[in-house]
Amino acid sequence: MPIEPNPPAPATEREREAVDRAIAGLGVEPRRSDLLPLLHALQDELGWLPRGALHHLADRMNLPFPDVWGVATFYALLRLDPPHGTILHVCDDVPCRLRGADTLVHDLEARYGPPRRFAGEAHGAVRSGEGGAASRAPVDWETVPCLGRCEEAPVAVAGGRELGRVTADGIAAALRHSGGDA
Amino acid sequence: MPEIRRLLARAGVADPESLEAYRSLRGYEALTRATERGPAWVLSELEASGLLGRGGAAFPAGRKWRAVAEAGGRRRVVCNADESEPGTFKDRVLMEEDPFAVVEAMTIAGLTVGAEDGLIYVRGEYRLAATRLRQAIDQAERAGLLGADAAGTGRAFRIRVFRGAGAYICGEETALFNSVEGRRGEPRNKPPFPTQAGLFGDPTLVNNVETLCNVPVVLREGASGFRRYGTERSTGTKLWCVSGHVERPGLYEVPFGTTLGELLELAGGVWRGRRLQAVLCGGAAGTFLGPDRLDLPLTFEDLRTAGGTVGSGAVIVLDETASLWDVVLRVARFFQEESCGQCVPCRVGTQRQLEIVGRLASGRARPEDPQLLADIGAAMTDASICGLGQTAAGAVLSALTLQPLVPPSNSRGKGAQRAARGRPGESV
Ligand SMILES: Cc1cc2nc3c(=O)[nH]c(=O)nc-3n(C[C@H](O)[C@H](O)[C@H](O)COP(=O)(O)O)c2cc1C
Ligand code: SF4
Ligand code: FES
Repeated sequence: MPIEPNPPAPATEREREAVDRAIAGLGVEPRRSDLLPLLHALQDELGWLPRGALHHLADRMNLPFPDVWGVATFYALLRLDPPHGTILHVCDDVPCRLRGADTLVHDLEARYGPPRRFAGEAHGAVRSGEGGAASRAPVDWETVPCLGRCEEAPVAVAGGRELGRVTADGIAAALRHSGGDA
Repeated sequence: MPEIRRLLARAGVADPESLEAYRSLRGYEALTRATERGPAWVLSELEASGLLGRGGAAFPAGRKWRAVAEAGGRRRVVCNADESEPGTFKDRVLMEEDPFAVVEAMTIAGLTVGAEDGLIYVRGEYRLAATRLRQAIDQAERAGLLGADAAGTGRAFRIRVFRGAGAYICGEETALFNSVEGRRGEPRNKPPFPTQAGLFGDPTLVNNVETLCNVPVVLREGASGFRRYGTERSTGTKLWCVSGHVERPGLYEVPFGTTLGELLELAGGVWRGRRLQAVLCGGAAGTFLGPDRLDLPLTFEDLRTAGGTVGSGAVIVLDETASLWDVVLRVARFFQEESCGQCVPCRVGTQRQLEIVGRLASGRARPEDPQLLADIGAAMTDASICGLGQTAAGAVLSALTLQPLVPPSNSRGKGAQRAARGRPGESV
């Protein structure tokens, strides 16, 4: 998980505008319960949640920054660093593994480098964090728990498109389609 | 036993984006009856139906509705659509294919318990489900079924859709409240229970999507009609999410009391003509059942007696070639990653459990490992504040009963390797 830098990064013009627009979209003064919907809206627009934008959001909501940061870091779908390529989520949970997700993950690793998070299974130890410099592939991918489509296992989401009974070739085609240079 | 299409009557048949289509297949009949006969009738039918919650805890729905109806002040209704239990997809299918049923059921709930605010907490990954629900809510509003004068009752009821953002723990009802309130999605201590102090501190009715979708059936068929399927204590039909090594993975609706073997047959049986090794019933929070359990009737009571659980309705099938311990390892990793870390037994226990299962899965088990797992499991079950920690050891410990480790003297030999890896063949 990225560490909050000190001093905080100031929001860019575009980030401030995105925050202000998201809040204006509520039509009322933001309440704390608007926080998660606002974070969704920001990420939809910016692709991730830059530190500066979160600071500006905290100011606009009259919330201490750590409260906003604490929420933003809680959820797997919220991104605190910029994606370095088209986003690919590959389910490696039990039903998908039983239907070939392990092979799929190996194939994808050969094509796109290691995923963002990878559990060192043989040792039961979990290596977390960035995939490292080697992973600067045009595809920013990670393995994820069950996506709730196990009847179509194995399952992936490539550039926002849900793919069932998927293969590495199928994923590559979908990434090309969504603009990823795969 | 035959497959039934009661909860799934409209799925794949009616246009999920059309209120007209919904109405033409008995949609909104239940709400009409509920408004004609009033809340007291709804509560007594629901209690008489014996409907138990389908979100995992099997709590009687009628009793919960009555508790909220009798609470004072502002009340709320929440539909739990966070569905993140591995192997579970029933709520997604209901929301995508029959969104008006969720909306109708919530409207009945709101008018019955006296709430004006309804909220559906939809798992962040379920974009189509959220879109379909919003569309259904819009149409219901335009038709006067929701809003300031909901269904012509003179009472207000509105529903909004709230999207999660990728956290299994937010399916736990009090974590869900924190998530909506703009806090970290960590569970609260209970009591107070949601029926006393839930979302924003108000008495709150929380029900699972499938539980709610049963309500219009109860009110249309009457309690006795509803009980036509199922057993005395597990009434009605159940949606089972069958996945893994079967010919036809999918969602199957059958009466409670259908046996595990019959359910697997509906799904085409174990694929490729292979033999069954085990079924992981109830998802990651569930337990393994061996091939000797094919005659087990799938009911709340029979599964409990067998040391299992209905859980979320996930039935994950492993054929004879699957590596049981690789599956267990994935389950252990799931809990280690999804623990919110708030309480010590769960935070530390899920980590230690993962390390030990990692040893077992790679054939490096130590003699003391089974006992360690049992001790950690007991600590998590007894001392965790929420169901995640309380169930985190269930699948692991039940796997040990299916494939006990060989005696310590052999623990580094071939026997241990075989026990740890499952049978050779297709890797998992
Ligand atoms: C870790 C955890 C995750 C849960 N996830 C869900 C879920 O995704 N959906 C759900 O309906 N209930 C889930 N529950 C159960 C809820 O806390 C609650 O019991 C349920 O929503 C009540 O609805 P019901 O009475 O209709 O079953 C979960 C519980 C725990 C402990
Ligand atoms: S049991 Fe685990 S998930 Fe539940 S509150 Fe405690 S640490 Fe969090
Ligand atoms: S296990 Fe992959 S979608 Fe459920």
